[in-house]
Amino acid sequence: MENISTISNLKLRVSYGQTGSQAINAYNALSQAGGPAGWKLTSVDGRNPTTALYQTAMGNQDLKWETTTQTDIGIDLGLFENRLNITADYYYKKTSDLLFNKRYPNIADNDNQIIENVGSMENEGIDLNISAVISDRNGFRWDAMVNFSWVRNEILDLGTDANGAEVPFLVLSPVNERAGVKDENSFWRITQVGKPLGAFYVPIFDGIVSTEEQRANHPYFVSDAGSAVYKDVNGDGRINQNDRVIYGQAAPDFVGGITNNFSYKGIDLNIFFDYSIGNKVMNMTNYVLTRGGGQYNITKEYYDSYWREDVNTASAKYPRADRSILLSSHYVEDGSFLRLRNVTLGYTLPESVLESLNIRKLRLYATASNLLMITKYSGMSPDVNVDITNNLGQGLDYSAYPASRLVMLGINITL
Amino acid sequence: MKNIIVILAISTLIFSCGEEFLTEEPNFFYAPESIFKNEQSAETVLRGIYITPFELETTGGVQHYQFIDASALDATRHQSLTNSWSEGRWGAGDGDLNRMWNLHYSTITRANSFLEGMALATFSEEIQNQFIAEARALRGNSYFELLKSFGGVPLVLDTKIENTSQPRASAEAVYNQALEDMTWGLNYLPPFSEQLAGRLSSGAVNGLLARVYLYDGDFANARAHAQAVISSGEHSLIQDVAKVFTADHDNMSEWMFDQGALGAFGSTYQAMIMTFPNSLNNQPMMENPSLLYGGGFRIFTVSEYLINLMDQNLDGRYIHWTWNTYVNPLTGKVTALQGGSGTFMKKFYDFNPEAQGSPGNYRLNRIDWPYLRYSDVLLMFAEAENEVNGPTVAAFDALNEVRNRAGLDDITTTELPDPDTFRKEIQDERARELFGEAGLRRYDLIRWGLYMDRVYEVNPGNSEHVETDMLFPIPSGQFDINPNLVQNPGY
Repeated sequence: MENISTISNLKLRVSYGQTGSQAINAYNALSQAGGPAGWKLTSVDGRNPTTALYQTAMGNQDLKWETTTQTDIGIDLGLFENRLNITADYYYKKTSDLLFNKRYPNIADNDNQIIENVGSMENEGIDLNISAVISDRNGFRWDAMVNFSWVRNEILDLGTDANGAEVPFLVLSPVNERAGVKDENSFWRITQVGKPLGAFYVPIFDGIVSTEEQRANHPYFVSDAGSAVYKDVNGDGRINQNDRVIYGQAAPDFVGGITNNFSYKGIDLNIFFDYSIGNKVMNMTNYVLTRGGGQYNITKEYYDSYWREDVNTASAKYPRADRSILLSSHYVEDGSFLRLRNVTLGYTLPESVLESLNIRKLRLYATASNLLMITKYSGMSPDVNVDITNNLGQGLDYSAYPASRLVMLGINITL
Repeated sequence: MKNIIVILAISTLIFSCGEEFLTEEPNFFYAPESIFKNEQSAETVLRGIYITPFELETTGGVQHYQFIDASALDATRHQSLTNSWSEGRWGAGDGDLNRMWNLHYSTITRANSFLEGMALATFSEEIQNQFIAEARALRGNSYFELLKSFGGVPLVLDTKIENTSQPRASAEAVYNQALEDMTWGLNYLPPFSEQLAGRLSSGAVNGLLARVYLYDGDFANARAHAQAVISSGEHSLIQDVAKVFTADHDNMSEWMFDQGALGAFGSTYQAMIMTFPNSLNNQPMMENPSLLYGGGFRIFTVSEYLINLMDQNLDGRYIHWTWNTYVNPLTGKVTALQGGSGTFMKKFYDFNPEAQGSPGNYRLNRIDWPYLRYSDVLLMFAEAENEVNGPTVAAFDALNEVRNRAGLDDITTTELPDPDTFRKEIQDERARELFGEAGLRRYDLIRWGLYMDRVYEVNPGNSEHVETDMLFPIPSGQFDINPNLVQNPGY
């Protein structure tokens, strides 16, 4: 090896370890009793406030940490006097005793949920990091870094139910207590054995029956022309919860970033792109704003182009105003993006100029974040995560505030 | 109000994951041994069963009764442009159905936990029995409500987690459970008094039992329980019809059982807003409580069919319980509301600047949500008496007591000579007296076998009702968590 002159660094890394996730809130193991909070009333008759108690949380004495066992094999390679560095890692993680808010029927308090260690899942992935000094001549230096991650996630098992039978899937809602979406439509995520965590689970949007003729001829009963229709997946002649299918997932196929640093004489330029490919986003903002029905705000575009009798029937972009429109595949969008995350341009004044000013170093710079985003996503930004406390909250855009564009000008002075 | 969180460690509690159950102990309740030891803390938990309607989301858990009532069309109407309940357009995904389901199962869960905990109680047996009687009556009543709406439902009677995913029990089993629960402690319950502060009295449970028996067509038992209420002498009608639905009369003995409103957010304000005439939206903000919520929503109206059943000159219920004029409480300005966009229900209108204080509180409705009123019991008695003994003097007395209070003269055998005409009169009188309350109209029409004919009669050509609409669909989300459920036909 010593004789191979192109290789300046070669390292093989293997590691194995176990970590615990303590994503358990204090007292989660205990059942808790509480009174109605805040504005809610505590009396039975409403006149003489007295205390009332009921169970606010159902404890689980068997609760324990999630355990992740990880094996990692990596290689560090430096070539051409370390002008080209490659770091590659493959990892395999198995997480057992997954923490889920498991829902039980008919114990409606607390939204039917009990936190439990349920089943296991695996993750495997590849991280690749390549950095290179592309040019370093005549005072011009160009460094480039490219990184890339791929991950595959699969649920291995979900434990057993109260009667000891294997649980094939859990349908979960990542949205709690949000006005307007907390109806049956909000149960649109499935966690199924053999599939990735929290895949979207929705009916397939099948267009709008715009005319009375289409309505009458539709394979299942539709009450009004202008209604949205869905694929009758199981062919039973009606649309209900049994017609939901797995439709994409929030986790991307690849994510990564590209960084370029240029410097020439006193000028430095840094350009950083990041990207995500293959992630889907549930555009719930769009869903809420394009339902009509008089209860919520609507967008102007919706107002101009929803189905109305004798007005733009054939060309209607949105169905008739109907609060019961389902959260369907129609709102699942490709969230792939390429973003210019950061650009910084700087100029460091030559020392010769500074000496007379008694300043050791002076750098002027301008930096801009989130300047540009290339995406097909129709909402404000596909890089959203409304409910970050919940690993099922990934890929949900519900009135999410997008990352703001920021431009800064600055001076660094070292005296 | 301060949120009181009591955290109690449990040593005896073993929960979940399939391996071991201490089946003798409650599976997921808190420190039973400490909390049930004394009367005061046990009573606090008992109150927790009563307040379920106010734990459910922003609309208050009582809102769905208004939808149920409107699904019958001939008393109140639901006027949403889209999924109107008055056109038979509800579906398994309807949030109000899910709220209804959860409301009753919350009550049931809390009652189950309470009843198990009471096994550890050491205080006076008399009080213990009263508490148990209340908890069981509440559980029974919730099963009765579930039965009326959905048919047979899972019969969960303890807190064992493995018993939660049961399949649906038969309608008969649910009915029998409701009956057994409500009958069990009748003798342990106290007589009515305003000091009961919204808790169940023997009269209230007798009245609810009359409702249960009537639903099954058991007129003899319905009559007996309604009779028991009347002969107890504990209840009477509020004589001034204009004052029945006011905040300072809703604790009186006519209001036999209700859901209390503190005049706080989350109480019955929605009922007011949804029945406030939107034609009044041009009234100044501070003088129109509904505007504090963005104006009258014009969602629930009184049906024309019912308006035509009422004597518009004499019937105090038309005059005072529906909107026909709006007298601005601050300026005295009178706005006539005849014609136009429909007549609205005024039962839950509560605007009293003096009592409510600051403008920000004007929207806070202080009227309780009626669940059982004495006039309902009188009409149930009259109906059952007519079915058992014909239109007797007692039947006329009960009917006329309700009529007289509304400002109407006695009705006699001249007008109602036989059981059939008397029955028809009761059917109309119940709409006039009880419209918009506790979802009663729907279940009345269903038990009389009138539902399908009536919805088509009232809404010719525009109704999408089918036979299977007489049961609501099981809320679709419930199938995700209980795979043993089977949907009702037609959904």
